[in-house]
Amino acid sequence: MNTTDERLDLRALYERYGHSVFRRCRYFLRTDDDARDALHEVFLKVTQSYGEFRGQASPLTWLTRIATHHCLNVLRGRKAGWHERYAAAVTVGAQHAEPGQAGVERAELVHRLLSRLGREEQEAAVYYFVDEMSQEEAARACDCSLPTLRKRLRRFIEVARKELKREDATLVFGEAPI
Amino acid sequence: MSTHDGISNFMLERYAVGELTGAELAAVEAALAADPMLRERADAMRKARDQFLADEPYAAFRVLHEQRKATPTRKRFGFWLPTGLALAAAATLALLTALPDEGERIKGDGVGLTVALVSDTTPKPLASGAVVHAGDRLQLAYDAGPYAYIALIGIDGSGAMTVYYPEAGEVMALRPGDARAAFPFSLTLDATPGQETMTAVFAEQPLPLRRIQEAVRKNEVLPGVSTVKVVLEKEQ
Repeated sequence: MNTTDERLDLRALYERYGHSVFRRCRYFLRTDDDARDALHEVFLKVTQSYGEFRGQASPLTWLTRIATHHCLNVLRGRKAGWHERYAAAVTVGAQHAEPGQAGVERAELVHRLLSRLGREEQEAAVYYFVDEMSQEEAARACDCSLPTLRKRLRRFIEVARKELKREDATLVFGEAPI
Repeated sequence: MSTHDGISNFMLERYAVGELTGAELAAVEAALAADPMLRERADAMRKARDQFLADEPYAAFRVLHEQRKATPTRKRFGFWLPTGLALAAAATLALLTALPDEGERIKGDGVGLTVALVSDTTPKPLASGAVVHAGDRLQLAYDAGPYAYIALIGIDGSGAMTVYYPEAGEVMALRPGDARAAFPFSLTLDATPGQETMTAVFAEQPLPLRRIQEAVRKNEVLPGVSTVKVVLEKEQ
């Protein structure tokens, strides 16, 4: 690939997908500065593995995956106390959410539970519950089979229910939806 | 928690970036025509996208992107040892003689992969699951067993895949000479945290690297192919 082609491709990629990547990074990392930093890291990864990118039926799925992995790694790398900072940030965010914004609340709950989950469950939960991908789409994004995805989602639901129950012992749950 | 019975956020986003075709596109357009709230969501998405490009234009992004690309600490790929082939060969020999036949050599179906941390003294073999750090230098050796063709694929903590070997071309490399040898380079790890997975792929035929990458990504078993994987935990 020559420099001109690379520049053209990078511009097209950025202008088409930059916002999606930024939004994903902002969801995880919470501040514009951190999201901007992550955006650059993600696009560096993209340019380094451009050959792989060109074969993707859904570049958005591929970019979302790279951004998700990167952000989960950043959070993991911050180590000490990041989940406490998360919980505080999420609590503030939830207070400002409009009533009835089920999607926002769901996204915040997933966000809050991330630190209690393994890497694979984190990824599956974000794709399915936040992005609202279908199970087939989420399985493709996770590079796993449908049964494996469902297993990871069930694990997430189990953790989520325990967390909710801890806050309100009177809650009664029906059969798990997955 | 999620009904998944309408147009998902992700589907709407794919629509916004122009990825949808055929039935998917028709379904989203029909839903937009019928649902004013969905139209509002799509409009909000478009406005946010326009605002993002106004706030973060490509020209400014490009400048920072180039600066980061040039930052040496992010350089991933390793190098031939400084004085070239002779030293590289010596390092290979040292590695192979330093490493035990069993133990840290991760074995597959008659094949093997050894990853060693290079220091000033003897290379230290790493077991799968070992903790490594940014800046660590690794040397890798393989046992190709009966197979003639090899490739080495890495996936870093962000999920990005790199073909480390062969260093050029579109197909797997014919292994040079002995079945047991070291790869002709060392790797210096960058700062991306998370799991660093090295997969050595051995085949009877020179398969296209694109096919090998796809198989590695999907954990797919290809006929006539044997793989060995070492996973390292990279900490910052």
